[in-house]
Amino acid sequence: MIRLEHLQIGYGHCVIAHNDKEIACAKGKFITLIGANGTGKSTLLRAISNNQHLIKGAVYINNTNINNISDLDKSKSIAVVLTNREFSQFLTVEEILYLSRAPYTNFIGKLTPSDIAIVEEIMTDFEILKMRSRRLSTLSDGQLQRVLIARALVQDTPYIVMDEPTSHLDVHHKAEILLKLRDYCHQHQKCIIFSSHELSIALALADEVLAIHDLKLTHQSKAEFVATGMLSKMFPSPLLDFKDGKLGLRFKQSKSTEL
Amino acid sequence: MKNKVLFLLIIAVIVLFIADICLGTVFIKPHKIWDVLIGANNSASENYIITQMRLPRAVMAILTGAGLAIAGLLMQTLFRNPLAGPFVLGISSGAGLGVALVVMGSAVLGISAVSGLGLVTASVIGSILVMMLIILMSLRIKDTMGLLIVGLMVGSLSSAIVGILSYFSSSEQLKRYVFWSLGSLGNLEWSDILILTVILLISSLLVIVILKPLNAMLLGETYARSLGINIKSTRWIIIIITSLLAGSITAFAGPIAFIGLAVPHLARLLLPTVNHKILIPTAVLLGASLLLACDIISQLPFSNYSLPINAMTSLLGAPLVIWLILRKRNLHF
Repeated sequence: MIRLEHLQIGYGHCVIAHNDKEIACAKGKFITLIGANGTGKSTLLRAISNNQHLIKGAVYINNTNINNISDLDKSKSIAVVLTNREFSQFLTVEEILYLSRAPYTNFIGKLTPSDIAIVEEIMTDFEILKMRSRRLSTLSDGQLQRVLIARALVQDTPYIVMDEPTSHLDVHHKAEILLKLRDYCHQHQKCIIFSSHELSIALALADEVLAIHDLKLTHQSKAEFVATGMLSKMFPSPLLDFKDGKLGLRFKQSKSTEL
Repeated sequence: MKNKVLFLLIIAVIVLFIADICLGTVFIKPHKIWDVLIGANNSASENYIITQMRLPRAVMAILTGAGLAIAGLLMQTLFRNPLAGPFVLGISSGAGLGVALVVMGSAVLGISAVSGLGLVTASVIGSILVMMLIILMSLRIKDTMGLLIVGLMVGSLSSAIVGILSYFSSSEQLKRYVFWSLGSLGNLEWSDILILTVILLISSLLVIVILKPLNAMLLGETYARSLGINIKSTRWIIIIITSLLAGSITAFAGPIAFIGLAVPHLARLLLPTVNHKILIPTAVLLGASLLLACDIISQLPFSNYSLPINAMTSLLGAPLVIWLILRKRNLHF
């Protein structure tokens, strides 16, 4: 269980999001993190995964303050999907997956048969077997994102934090990957927290919602979140219409068309 | 494929090593080398040429080539930058500044003659000082790109001081400094070579310790940390290895250009892989054979002339890298 206690995140003394109580993210939950641009979604994910940008409060994993967990132990409990592209483009798909077994390999990084089996399984599940020996520089943005999601799963951690993992995918693959992730999350009792701007799909699939609005971080079940009608407050726009968590477009004729 | 490349490179190093000893102003037949080593050769001049001149020179070429290749590769991985080399941290500039201060500043200080040993000492002190400055900086600067820029600034700062010094120095002193900066693998004692061998061995052991972190660094620092890699200590070890290697090599052989930058790229494209477990031995062998080849050519065999090694490495290396970029269209780290 990941627990966020009296959390205040931000930069310097400037708090950009806070929650005065306690937020608990349990295993087996598929949790979406939503908020408008610049509200601190990435900052929150970095606070959870890396203990960065915490002004007050603390992050606990299984009742241990994340501050007191060694890098190695943390690497066995939280995996991340980042938006940065700092990795070597010369790596092949299977190389980046094999390297992500680092928390479990010996000091020289030798792979055991079970490491290889896990990588094979995930490559099959995420349909990237065909591109296994391609260099990352030759992949499209969408393919690369699939590889990066698979990379996090290869790390085999109970908690996975993903910063906009599907932003470059087309709408079909967005739905496909998120559905697959949800099933994986339920089947293997993982806790996945992912930020997304794809409200319709994210809300359709998520079990719980973390939302940042008006400097406040809230955590609710999906049904609660939809019932509060928060969405129209978070994204105030004359063009948008949120009904039961579904996104619609409003035209001048005031006819509502569902997307 | 990988084993084949490594095997061919080992053969290349052996062949070039023997050729480097045989070729020179006078040609010495290969079998004579063995005779000299077991003491069965009666010609005193051949004995002298081999044991005091050509053998130390060829060993030096191997050590220098291997050391600079390791240093360059580590820098490129640390800075995630294909342009990084062992000298980007300003280590060779520090060495150059040390030498310039001794050679050209000695007149100002009133000291007339400076020995060869004084030159080496000055160069080592210069590189260590810059290395300590960089380490101090790295305590404050969390970002490796910032460190890269600091290194470049230290480099231009020292070349500015060298520029001022050379402006005020006599032509004799200037000549001496220029000769050092052209680089030379010769004129070294066996004790110097022993020092360099020990440094190379220590560095190799340290490299084995950070093999796994080095490969994880290929994912970028944030991902590497999320994989449980201690970035801070890895960065420190890389800086220490590079300073030791580049500092001592520059002290003994002058600022040898290009090997550190070019060899890692050649190794990556030859294999091709970025896995350090394969890349490091390849770069070591490639660096050694490239510098042996450069040394053979710079000796201009069968003539009474020789060229500076630093000119040779760039003359040979620059077209090679340009050709590779034209063929592959891009370079990665």
